[in-house]
Amino acid sequence: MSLQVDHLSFSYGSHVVLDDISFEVPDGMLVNVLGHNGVGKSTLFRCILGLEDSWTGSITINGKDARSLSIAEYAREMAYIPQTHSSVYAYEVIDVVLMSTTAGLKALAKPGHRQLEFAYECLDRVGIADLADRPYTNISGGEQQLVLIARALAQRAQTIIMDEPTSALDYGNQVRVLSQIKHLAGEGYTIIESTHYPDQAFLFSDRTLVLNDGTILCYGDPKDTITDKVINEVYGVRVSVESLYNDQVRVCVPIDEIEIGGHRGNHCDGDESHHDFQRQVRRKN
Amino acid sequence: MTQQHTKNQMDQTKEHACSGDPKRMINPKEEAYVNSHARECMCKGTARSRRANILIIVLAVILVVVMTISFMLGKYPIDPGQVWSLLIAQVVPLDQTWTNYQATIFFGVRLPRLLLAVLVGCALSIAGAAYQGIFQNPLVSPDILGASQGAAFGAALSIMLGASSVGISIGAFIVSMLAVALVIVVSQRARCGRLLGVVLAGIMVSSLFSAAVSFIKLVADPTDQLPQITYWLMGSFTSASMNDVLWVIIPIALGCVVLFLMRWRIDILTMGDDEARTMGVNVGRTRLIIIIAATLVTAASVSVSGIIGWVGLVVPHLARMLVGCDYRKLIPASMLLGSGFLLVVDDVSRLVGTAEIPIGILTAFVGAPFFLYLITRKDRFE
Repeated sequence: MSLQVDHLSFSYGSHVVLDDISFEVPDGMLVNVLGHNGVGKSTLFRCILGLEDSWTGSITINGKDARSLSIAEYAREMAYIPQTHSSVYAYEVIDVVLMSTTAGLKALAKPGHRQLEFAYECLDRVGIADLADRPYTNISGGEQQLVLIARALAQRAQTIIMDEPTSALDYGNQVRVLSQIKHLAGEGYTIIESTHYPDQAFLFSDRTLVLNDGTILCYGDPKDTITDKVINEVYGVRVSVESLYNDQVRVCVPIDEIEIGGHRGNHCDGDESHHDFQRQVRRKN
Repeated sequence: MTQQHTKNQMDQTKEHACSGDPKRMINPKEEAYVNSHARECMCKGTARSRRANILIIVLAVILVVVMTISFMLGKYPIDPGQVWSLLIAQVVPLDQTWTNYQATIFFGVRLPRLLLAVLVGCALSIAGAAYQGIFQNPLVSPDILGASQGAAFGAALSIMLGASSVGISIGAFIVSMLAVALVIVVSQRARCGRLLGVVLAGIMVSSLFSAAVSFIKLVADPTDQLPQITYWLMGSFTSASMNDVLWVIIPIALGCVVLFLMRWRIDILTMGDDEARTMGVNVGRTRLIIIIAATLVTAASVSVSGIIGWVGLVVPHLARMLVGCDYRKLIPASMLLGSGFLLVVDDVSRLVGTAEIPIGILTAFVGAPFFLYLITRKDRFE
C-alpha cells in the first residue's frame, strides 16, 4: 500500500478543514482529487507531504508511519510537484532537476557525476533533455511542468503528489503533461494529483477522490464517482455526464448552457429567463 | 513552432516510456542508465560547467595580480620583485633587495590594509550572496537583518564612552551580533510568514538602531566624538593594522567555510520552503545556520571597516552574470570578485586626491549607477 490515511483531521484555528478522512492508495495507482476551491485539497496534500504538523490521525507512506520519518527519509518516499513555480533566479533546467537528488546525499555533500547522469536521464525520460542548459525561467509553462516532473523522478521517490499540475497550462500542454503523468503511473509510480476538471479524471485517472465539506464524498473508479448528482453537489453546476466512444471516455456537459429541443437545459422557462437576463444587462449598460 | 517541437518531444517520450522496463526507475540502489541522447546533452552541459570553473580560476589569478599591483601603489615605490621577496623572506631567508624603510611601509601599512580590504570584500560579498539566496530576493544586502546598524550603534556608543580602536571594534561586533539575534528571536514569534517575518523584523530593528545612532550623535561631543562617529559610519581602511586583521580573520574564515560548504543547500532554499522541505532539506535549521554564518562575517567586517555599502548587493550580481546563478559556482566567484573589487576601490580611495576619500562613499558612487543599470537592462536571454 503506497499511501494509507486513517482518521485524518486538520483545522486552522477553529476552522475545521479536514474532518476524519480515511482512504488508501495502492501502489502504481493514479488518483485524481476533485473538490471546489478552498475545500481542502491543498491542505490534504500538505498534511500528506509533512508540510503541516498539527494534524491528527495517522498517515502511512509505503508502510512507514509518516511521523517517524525524518525530513530526508520523507523525501525518499514522496516527491512534490507544485502548481506553478516561479524561481527568482534563472537556474538552468538541469540544476533544477539535480536539486532533488540531495535527499539521497550525506549532510554537506553536493551531487556528483552519478547524480548528474541520473538527472539527465530523468529529463530525457520526459522528453526534454534538449532543454537541459536553458534557463528555467525562460521556457514555456508546459515545459516547466515537465521539468518539475523530471525533478520528482530524480528524487527516486515512489509516490508523487501533484497540486493542480495543469491548471496554469494551455489545452495542448495540459493534455501532454497529463498523458506523461499517466505513463509514469503505468510504470509503477503512485501519483496523487488534484484537478478542477472532472473530464480529466475520466481520461487520466484510475481512481477519483471527491472532497466536500471536509470529508470524502466518494472514492473509487471515476465512472462510479463522477455522476451528475456528485458534480451538482460539489460545484453547484447541473451537468449531464455523457458517454463517448463506447464508454471509453465520458464528459461532463453543463446542461444549463445548451438548448435541448428549443429550450435551454431542462428549464421550461429557460428562454424567458434568458431574455430577462439580457434586458437586465441592457439596462445596466 | 515551439508547440510542434514539444509535441515531437512528447511523442519521443511515449516511446521511451513504453519501451522502459516498469519499475526500472524506482529502485534507488540501481545504477543510473543513460541513453546516448541524454549523454550527448550531458557532454554539452559539463562543457559549460567547466567554463565556469575556468572563469573562477581566472578571477583568482586576477586577484593575485591586483594584490601585487596594489602593494606597489603608493607614495613610496616598491617594485613587484621586492613585493614577492618581502613576502617570501618571511618564510625562507633571502638576500635583502629592499630598504628597511620599504619593509616598514610594506608590513606596517600596506599589508594590513590590503589584507583587510580583501577580507572585508570577500566577507560582504559572500554574505550578500547567501542572503539573496535564502531570502529568494535579489535586492537583499548583508545588512538586511540589522548587522550594520547594530554595529554602527555599538561603535558610536564605544566612541562616546572613549574606547580605544580595538574597543570600538569589539563594541561594534557584539552589538551587531546582538541586533541579528534580536531579529531572529522576534521573527520566531512573528505571526506572518517566517520569511517575511525575518525581513520585517530586520528592517524594524535596523531603524531602531539607526535612531539610537542619531541620538548618540546628538549628545556626543561635537569637537572630537561627533566627527569620529561620522567618519566611522562612512567606512574606511585608513587605520588598518595587523591587529585588526588578526581580530577579523577568525570569524570571517569560520563563516566563509560554513557558507562555502552550505552552498548547494542555498541553491535548494531558493526554490522556496515547501519545495526545499519536500526535497529533503531541513529548511529552518539550514537557514538558521546560514544566517548565523553570514552574520558572523558581516559583523566582523563592519566592526573593523565601518559601514561599506553596496559591495554585498552588487558583487553577487556581477558574479551571477559571469558564472550563472548556481551557488556552487556563485559562492567562490563572489568571494574572489568581492575581494578584488573592494581592493581596487580602496586603491582609488587612497591614491586619488590629496585627502583620502572614505571607501563607503566610493562604493556607493560605483554601486548606485550599477544598480540602476541592473534594473533597467534587458534580460540577457531575451
